[in-house]
Amino acid sequence: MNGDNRYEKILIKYLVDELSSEDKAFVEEWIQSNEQNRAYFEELRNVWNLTALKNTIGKIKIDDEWNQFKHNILIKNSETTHPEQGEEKTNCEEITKQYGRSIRYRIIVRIAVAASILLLIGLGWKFRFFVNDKAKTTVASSLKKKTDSLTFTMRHEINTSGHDKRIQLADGSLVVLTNNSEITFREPFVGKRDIALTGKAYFKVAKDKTRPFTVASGDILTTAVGTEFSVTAIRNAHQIIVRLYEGKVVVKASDPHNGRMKNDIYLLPGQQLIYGDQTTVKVEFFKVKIQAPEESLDKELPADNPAIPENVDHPYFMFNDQSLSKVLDNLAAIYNVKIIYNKNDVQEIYWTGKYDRSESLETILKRIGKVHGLLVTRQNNDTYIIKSK
Amino acid sequence: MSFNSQEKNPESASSGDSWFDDAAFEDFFKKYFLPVCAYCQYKFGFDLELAKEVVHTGFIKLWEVRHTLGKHLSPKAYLYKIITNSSLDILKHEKVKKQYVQMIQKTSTEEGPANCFESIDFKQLNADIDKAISELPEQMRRIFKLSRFEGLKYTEIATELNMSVKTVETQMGRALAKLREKLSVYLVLYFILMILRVFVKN
Repeated sequence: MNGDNRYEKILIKYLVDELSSEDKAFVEEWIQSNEQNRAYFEELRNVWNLTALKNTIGKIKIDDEWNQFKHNILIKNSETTHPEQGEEKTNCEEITKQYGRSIRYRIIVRIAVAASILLLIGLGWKFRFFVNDKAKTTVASSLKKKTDSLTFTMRHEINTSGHDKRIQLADGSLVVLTNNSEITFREPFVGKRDIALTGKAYFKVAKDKTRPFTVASGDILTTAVGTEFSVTAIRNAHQIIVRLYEGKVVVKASDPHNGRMKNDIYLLPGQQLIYGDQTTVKVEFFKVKIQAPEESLDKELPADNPAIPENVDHPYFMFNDQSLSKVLDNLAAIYNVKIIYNKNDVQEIYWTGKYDRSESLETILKRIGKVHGLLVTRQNNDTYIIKSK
Repeated sequence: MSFNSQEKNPESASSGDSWFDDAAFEDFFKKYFLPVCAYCQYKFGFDLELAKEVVHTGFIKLWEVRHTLGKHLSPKAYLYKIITNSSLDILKHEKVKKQYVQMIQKTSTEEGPANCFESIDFKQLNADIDKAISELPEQMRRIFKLSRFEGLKYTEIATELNMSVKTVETQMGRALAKLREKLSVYLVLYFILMILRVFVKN
């Protein structure tokens, strides 16, 4: 830095970002003008940049970064295995959510380029003398501003309390996280609801067909739209169990190259999938000894509107292996009556049946009662009571 | 082209992808994450947060192509390549710095990946930077720290320390000159490694 003190101050100002655009342009011209200037500037820059490394080692916890990386991969994989939802939604918000923070930046940059090219064409028609450079930076910065307003926060819930922990998600879904379990996810949910799980959790998913609910755990992904299921993926246990209580879920391998689970597996209510540490993937019915923490869930959630089957306008309706409580709630909604029952009486029962709309509710209920040993009494015109015999 | 120097599965290596198993990738990640972050900060002047973002993105890309990475390209070389490219992309979109980017781009393609940070003891580097800064005269040190680590503007520093902006400018210049002397080992080391690299290549 011999004798060039004249430039030293302005070069340092350039490094610490104190200069106006014009002055920056000037400094850049100067740096480029000859090799000596460039070397002089690089020396200064190297000192400045080197001091930035002061805290690098202290601030990087390599295990945290590795966990973050694994999470990124899980989220990324849950993305690539749902091409049917991915392709058509290519606006900023969708992508930014799916790829996580690090990729977001690059995507924004790419979109910024695309958008600026589009705008340049557009402007070209109106202002033929518009300078490329200016158009580019304005668009890029306005676009950046727009995407910045959408802020995502990473939520990481760890339960070491010794008992189950209830976590209400922004979309209305409820998670019951068992002891020594953890979930990580990004809020708000845009386009998808992706949760990474280690340990065991029970999910009651708020219905939302536009935002599939996916739980990533170890090698597998469980996707649901409006359903109740649990996933058990205890670290080091080498086994993942997905239990479906209600609705429909599809289980996929998070890595498309995974040879043990080439096909997607659809579960029916009452079924569980066991992804073992050997080469086995087993699907079987489970006996509900410990019932889904359903009652407690219902207390927490605002009462759902009884789900009226979509085919309500058709002359018949059907239930496909649904839990009896859901069947009864649906029947009550369809016939516009009250059906009173005790959850304990119906909790292990699943029902499949197809009914004509002209059939009387009493007939249907009696038939169900006969099969499962339940006593059906009609209290008055619009109230039925169901009890075990 | 193994991630493991010991060649964990020599016989399955021929099948194409087993050499890049999860454990090997984890080792690779943990070995290179810090040096590559440091490279981003040093080479492109990024702050730690941005450097980490870029590096994470690079590792995700590497993960995706791990089965198809050709034999002619080592994972490390690939990683530096992606990270350098995305860093340059980011710089390009900062206003005005275009010429500067061309300059960096030129030097980085000429010299190849500047991965000398792998051989640096970061604890030692941290201690040396701390020491160099602590040896600055008190006022100079405070000014430098506020600018470098708190990101304050000159006017803010001037107000905070009750002095003129001119003084801040002068003191910053002197601080950098002193630090350059004190940290010359690293700056020269970097320089020598660069030369060596070019030399070896030729």
